[in-house]
Amino acid sequence: MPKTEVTAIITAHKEGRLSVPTLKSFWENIDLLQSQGLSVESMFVLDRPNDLTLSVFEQSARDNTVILKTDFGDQGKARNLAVKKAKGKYISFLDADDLWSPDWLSRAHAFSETLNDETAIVHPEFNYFFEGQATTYRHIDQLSPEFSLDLLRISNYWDALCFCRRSVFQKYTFCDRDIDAGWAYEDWHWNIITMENGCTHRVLPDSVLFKRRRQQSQTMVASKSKAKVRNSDLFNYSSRLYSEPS
Amino acid sequence: MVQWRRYLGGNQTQRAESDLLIAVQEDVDFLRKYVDPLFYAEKYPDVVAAGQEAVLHYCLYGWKEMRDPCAYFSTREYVANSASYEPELGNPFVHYLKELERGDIKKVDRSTEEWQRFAITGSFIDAVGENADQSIFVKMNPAQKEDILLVAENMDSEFYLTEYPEVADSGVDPAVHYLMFGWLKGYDPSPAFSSRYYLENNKDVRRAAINPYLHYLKHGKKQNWRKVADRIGAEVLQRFDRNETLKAAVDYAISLDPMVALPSVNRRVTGPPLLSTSLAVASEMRKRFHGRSFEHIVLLPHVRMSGASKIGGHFAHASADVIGPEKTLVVLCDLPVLEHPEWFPENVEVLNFAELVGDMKDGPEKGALLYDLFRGVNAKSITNVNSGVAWALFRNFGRQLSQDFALNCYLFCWEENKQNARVGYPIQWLHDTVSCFSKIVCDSAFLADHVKDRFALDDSVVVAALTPIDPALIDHPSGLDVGETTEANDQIAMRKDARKTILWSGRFDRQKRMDVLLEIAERNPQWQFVVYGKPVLKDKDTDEIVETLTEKTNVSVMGAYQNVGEVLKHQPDLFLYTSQYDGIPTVLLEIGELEIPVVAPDVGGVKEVITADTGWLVDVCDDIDAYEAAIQEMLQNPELARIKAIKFKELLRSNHSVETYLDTLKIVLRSE
Repeated sequence: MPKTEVTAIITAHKEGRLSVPTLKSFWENIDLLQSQGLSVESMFVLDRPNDLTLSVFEQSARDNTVILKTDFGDQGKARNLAVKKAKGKYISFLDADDLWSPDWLSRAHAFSETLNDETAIVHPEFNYFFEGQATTYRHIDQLSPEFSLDLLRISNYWDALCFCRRSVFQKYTFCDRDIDAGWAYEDWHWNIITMENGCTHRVLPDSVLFKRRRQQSQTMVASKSKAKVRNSDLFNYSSRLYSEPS
Repeated sequence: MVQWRRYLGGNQTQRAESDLLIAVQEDVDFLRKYVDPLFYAEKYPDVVAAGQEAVLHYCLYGWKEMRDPCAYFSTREYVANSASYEPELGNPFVHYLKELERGDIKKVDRSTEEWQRFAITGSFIDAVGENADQSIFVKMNPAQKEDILLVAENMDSEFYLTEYPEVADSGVDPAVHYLMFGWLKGYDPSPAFSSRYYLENNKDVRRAAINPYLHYLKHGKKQNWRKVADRIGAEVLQRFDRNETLKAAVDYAISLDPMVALPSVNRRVTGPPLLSTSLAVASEMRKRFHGRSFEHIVLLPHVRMSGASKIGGHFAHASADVIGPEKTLVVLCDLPVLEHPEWFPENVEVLNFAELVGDMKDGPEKGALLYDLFRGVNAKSITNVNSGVAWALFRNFGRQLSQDFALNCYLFCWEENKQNARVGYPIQWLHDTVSCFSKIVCDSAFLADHVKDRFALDDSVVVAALTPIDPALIDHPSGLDVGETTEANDQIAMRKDARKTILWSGRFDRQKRMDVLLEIAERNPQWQFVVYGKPVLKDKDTDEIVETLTEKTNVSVMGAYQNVGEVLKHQPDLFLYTSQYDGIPTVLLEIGELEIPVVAPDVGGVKEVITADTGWLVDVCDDIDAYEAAIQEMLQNPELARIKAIKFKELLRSNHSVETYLDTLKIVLRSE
C-alpha cells in the first residue's frame, strides 16, 4: 500500500446541491493526481449537515472516502478534526460550495515539492468570487516585496483553502470561532500564527480557486457581527517580528 | 437605405433623394470610421430625434451648418484657419483627413497656435490595441486650466515622476505632461487608474480620443457601468483575458456551474490594500512606537478652546501623576487641531492621529487603526473624552476591546433635539456601550445620578468629577477704562449711567434659548443687555433671534470673548443664563469667579452650583415672568446679590478647584 501523499478534504454544512459542482472538481483533481501515480485520500467532514447535504455527499463518496459526521457548528473545529484523522503528507481543504481548478492539487503538490520547504503554505494566486459578487482577489506571496507585516495586522492576506504539509495543520490548529464574544476570522488568525512561527505563505502562479459568495457566507456573518481577529504577537509594535523599526 | 429615406423626409422626390445620396456617398463611406456617432448624438439631439445617422447627416448638412463630426475636429475652426481649404472643396473634414494622409497636414497644424493637431499612430494605437492601419487623430488644444487643476488634484504626482523619470528631467508639470503627452504613451496618472485599461474597455472614449483620466474624473466615475481599473487590477484582468491557464480554469469552472459567470457586471480586482492610507498609518504608528508601551491612553476629539479638550488636559495630568508621564499617551482622534499644547504635561506624548489619517472618512478604517494602536502600544486602559471616532469604535467593538483593555468614558450633558428628545453620547451611544466600561466619569453629580439610575450602576462604576475652574486662567481687569477712546466704549459708559446692565453669554444655539433672552429684553427696555457668544451649530431660528436682538436699542451683541474678564468693562449688574438643558456650564463657573450675581434656570447640573444661597434659580427654563421677578429682586437688593455672588465664588473654590478635580481623576485611575 503506497504512502498517502495528499489528503483532500471537503468541509460541508448545509450546502445541499451547491456541492454537486464542488464534488465534480474535487474528484477530477483527485483523479488527476492519482493518474500521476500518487496516493490520495478523500475525506468529507459533514458538520451538522442537513439531510440534502448528507445525501449529496453520501452519493458522491467512493469506497475509500473517509466521512466524518460532526456536531461542532464550527468550521475551525471541523477542520481540526479532519487534520487529526488525515493520513496524507499534504492536506488541502475545499469548502463545499467552492470549486477547485481541475489541476489545483496536482500543481500545488508539484510546487510544494519543488519548494522543498516543510513550512510552506501554498495558496492559489486568485480567489475568483462569483454568484453574489464579481470580484477577483489577488493573493500575495509572503516573499514578495508587496507583503507587509503592518498590513497583515489590519487586513487578511490569504484564506485557509491552501495546500500544505499535514504537520503544519497539526502544529497550528484553527482557533474556535466565538462570534458571541466578538472573535472570528479564524483563517486570518491561522495565517498570523503560522507566519509568526516561521511558516511561509507562498502563492502558486496562475492558479485560481472559485469561491461562491452567498449572503450567508461565514465571512459575511463575521463581518455583520462586527467581529475582530484575536490578538497575537504580531499586533504588538514591539514584537520581535519587527526586528527594527524599518 | 430605409434609414436614409426616413432622414430625407417623405416630401422629397425619389429623384432628388437619389441625387443627394449619390453626391455624398463617397464622403459617407470615407468618413464612416471617423465620425463619432456617440459624440454626434450627445451634441446634436435633434439628429437623434429625427432618427438620422450621424455620418450621413454630417455629410449632407452638418458640415454646412458648422457642426462637428467628433470631439477632436472643429469644422468652424478648420474652415476659418486652414490655409488650403476653400468652401468649394466641399466637406472640410474629408479635406482635413486627406491632407493628413498626404502629409500636408503639418502646414495646417502650424497655421495657428491654438489649433494644433497631432496624428498619433504609434504608442497610442499600441496602447489601445487598435488596428495599426487605422490612424487616430487627436486634437491637442493647449491644456485647459481647469482640466490641469482637476487632474493635478487627483493624480499622484510623486508616483508619476518616479515612474516616468523623463518627465522629472523635462521639468514639465506632471498634470500638464499627462494631459498633453502621457496618456498617449499609455502612462498612468496614479497607481489607482490605468489609462490603457480605460481606453481599451470604453470604446466611446477611445474612439473620440478623449483623455481617459479627464473623462473618468468628469464623467466616468459617476457612470457605474464604465470599466475602470487600477494598475494592478488592469494587469490581472488582462491576464484573465490572455493567459491560457487562467482562461482554461475559468472555462472549466463555468462548465461545472454556470453561476461562475455571474453576476454579469464588470469584474473588479481586489486584494490587500497595498496602497492604502491605512497601511501607511499603521506602518507609521508602529515605527514611531516600536519598543515603547503606554499603559493609559486618553482619546480626545481635538485640542481647541473647548471644555472637553481642557478636560483632556486634566486627565493627562492626572494620568501622568498616577501612571507616569512616559506611560501616558494622548491621542487626537477627530480633528488635527492642537491649539493648546500647554494644557498637557510636557513629558506626555501627544499623537495627532487625525493628522496621520488625513482626509480618511470616519468609519471602520479609522476605528481599525485606533484598535491597532491600542494593541500596538500594549495599552492597559483607555479613556475616551468626547471623541466621536472613539465612540464609534466602542460602539462597534466595545465587547472585544473590553476583554483586552479597561475602557472608560467621560460624559458631558446630553443634547435635546427639536422634538425635545434627549440625544447624544450619554443617551444612545452609552445605551449601546454601557457594559463595556470600567468607569463612567460624569461632569456633574446630576448626570452621574442619571446614569446610575438608568443602568442600575453604582459608585464603583459611575463617578462625578466636577468640572474645575482655574482662577489663574481668568484675567481680572480693574473695570471699565473710561479713558479708552473707542466709540463703543463711550456709548457703553454713557448707557451705564442710565440703565442696569444684564450680561448674557453662551453659544448662539437653540439649547441656550435666546428666544427667552429676546423676550425679556423686549419687555424691559429699562435694562441694558450685553450679549457675548457666537453660533456653533447651524440653526436658522436662532440666527433670526440674534438678528432681532442686534436691532434692539437696549441690546449690544458682542462676539465671543477671549477671556471672561473682558466682560467686566461693561460693569454688569448680573449674569442671566437661559439654557434649556445643561450639565454644569463652564460659563457659570467663570462668571462665579468674577463675583457677578447669577440668575439661571434649574436645568441639569445648574442647581449644583446655583442655589438659594449662591444666586437666583428659576424653576422653568422659559418662564419669562419668573426670570423678570428674579432679576428685579436682585437689582433691588444689591447687597444680597453681592453676598450670594461671594458665596458662589467660595463654593466654586471649594468644590471646583483643579486640585479637587485631579484627586477625583486619580482615584478613578488608581482603581483600575
